[in-house]
Amino acid sequence: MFNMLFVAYLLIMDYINGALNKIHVYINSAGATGTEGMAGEEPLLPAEKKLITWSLILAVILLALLIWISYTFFPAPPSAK
Amino acid sequence: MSKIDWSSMYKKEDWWALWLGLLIFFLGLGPLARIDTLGWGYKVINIWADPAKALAPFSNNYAWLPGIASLFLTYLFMLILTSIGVVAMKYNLKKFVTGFTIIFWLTAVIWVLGNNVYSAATPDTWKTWKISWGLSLTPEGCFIYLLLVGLLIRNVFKSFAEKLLEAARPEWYIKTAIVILGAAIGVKAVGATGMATTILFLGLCAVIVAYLIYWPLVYFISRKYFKLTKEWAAPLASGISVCGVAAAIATGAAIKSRSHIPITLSSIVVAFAVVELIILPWMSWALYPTLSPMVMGAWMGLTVKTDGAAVASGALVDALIIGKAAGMGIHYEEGWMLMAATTTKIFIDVFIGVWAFVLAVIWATVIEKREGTKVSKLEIWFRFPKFVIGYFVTFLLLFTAGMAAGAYVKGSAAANAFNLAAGEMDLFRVLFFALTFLSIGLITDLRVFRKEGLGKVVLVYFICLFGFILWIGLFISWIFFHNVYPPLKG
Repeated sequence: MFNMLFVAYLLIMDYINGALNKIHVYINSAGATGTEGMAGEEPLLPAEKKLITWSLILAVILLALLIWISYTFFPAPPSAK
Repeated sequence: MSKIDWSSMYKKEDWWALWLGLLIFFLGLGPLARIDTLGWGYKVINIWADPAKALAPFSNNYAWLPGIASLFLTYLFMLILTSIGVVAMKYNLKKFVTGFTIIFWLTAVIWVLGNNVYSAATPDTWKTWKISWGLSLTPEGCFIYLLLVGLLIRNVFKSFAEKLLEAARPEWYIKTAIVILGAAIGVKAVGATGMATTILFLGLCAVIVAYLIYWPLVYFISRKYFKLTKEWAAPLASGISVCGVAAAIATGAAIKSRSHIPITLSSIVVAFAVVELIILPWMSWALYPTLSPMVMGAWMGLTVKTDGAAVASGALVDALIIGKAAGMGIHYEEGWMLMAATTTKIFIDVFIGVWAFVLAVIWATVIEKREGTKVSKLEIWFRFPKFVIGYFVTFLLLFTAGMAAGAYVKGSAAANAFNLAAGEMDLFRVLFFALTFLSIGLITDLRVFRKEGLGKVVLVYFICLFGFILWIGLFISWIFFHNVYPPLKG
């Protein structure tokens, strides 16, 4: 079940990737890149990848921690609907 | 080594928002000493069926004052206060006075008309008003009219709009309003300390979501799929994720991008914020009562960019949901959704300076290693939004004073005095909000969406906003508020 979901996820991501690339080609061909130096061949550096990955990892850990503290020690007050 | 430029304390809008907000706050404390200092102000929340009763002073102590005189005094008071700031900041005073006068009276006319019973009364009161239909927008629904009129003037009557631009300063007005809002929230929090704690935690989570989830995802999508260069992608990610203009400019400076880049990106962010401001409050309206109103308020703070649009959308959500709930016989206290939106946004704002500093260090030492580049820690202070100080000062002062005076006992003399003080300050907060809405419209040139070369940026914004920003924001807001509802009236 998990494998199927994972494969489905990969297929969806691949589709999105393809669609985004098509959009990218369309925008370039439509002359929408008139703004100087906006786009170019500047691949993602390993340092940028690290920045992105570690930000996301840190976010998940901190969010889990904050939500746990909030639910455990400061539960929301009961209120009327 | 960089030094603190103290002159910015009288040269920058950020500081002037703090000074004006604090001045109104301290003047508004009069009722606590049994002096009615601001009660002559125009009563902004005043639904009317008889035009003769459309204008009135806020306080009964000034019942002898004709309504039109009260409105004129309010205009004069706000004109004088803002003009002092304008002179200090060396703006064009003559143009400002002309622009402000037109903007104020246009706002006043729209506001008074929008307070008529067919627009503002909620369904539960229709019988009392002897009407059979209405828009149920509540008085704050006038914000919608103001925004639309502003957009109409800017995009159709351009030469007229140009004449008003010197006084169309939404960021200044909204920041001043936020300083005053701190006081109202302080008084509210006195009666609901549990809710205040929940909002505090949500605020902290909002910081994490904006800086550590939205930012890297937007940056990744911009770089990987849209092939934007680093100097475009980083300010764009900050603009979309954090707080519009301020964050884009701070990031641009931190990574040393060319100066026109964050400014170009800001124009897109501002225009998009207006789109969010128009769409998201209605989405929230549609989602109620499936989701709690507090979820919606927090959602606005987490999702809508620029201070003006975020807080404004919180105010709209407040008005729209209170109107809808009243139709179901539920009467929530006003201001709680606005409070959730504002607090969330303010928490995010506070860290702009820290984020700019962190990016500056990462860019200088890792991504674009620049030998000998030093980043001053003072950058954090320079980038710190100063009006936030005012928000916390007014909040803490009224919260601690209210707790000490026992204002948490409903109906007590202390509670009445604190509510009157907060109410008198709040009428100016509402007026600054109203000026903000009209000003946002006046400065928003919708043609920016068609500007050549920016189509890619618009697409990144669109994909990120509807792809994950909305849903992550909604999910986080839901985690904290799915079971929390604003207090009921009475």
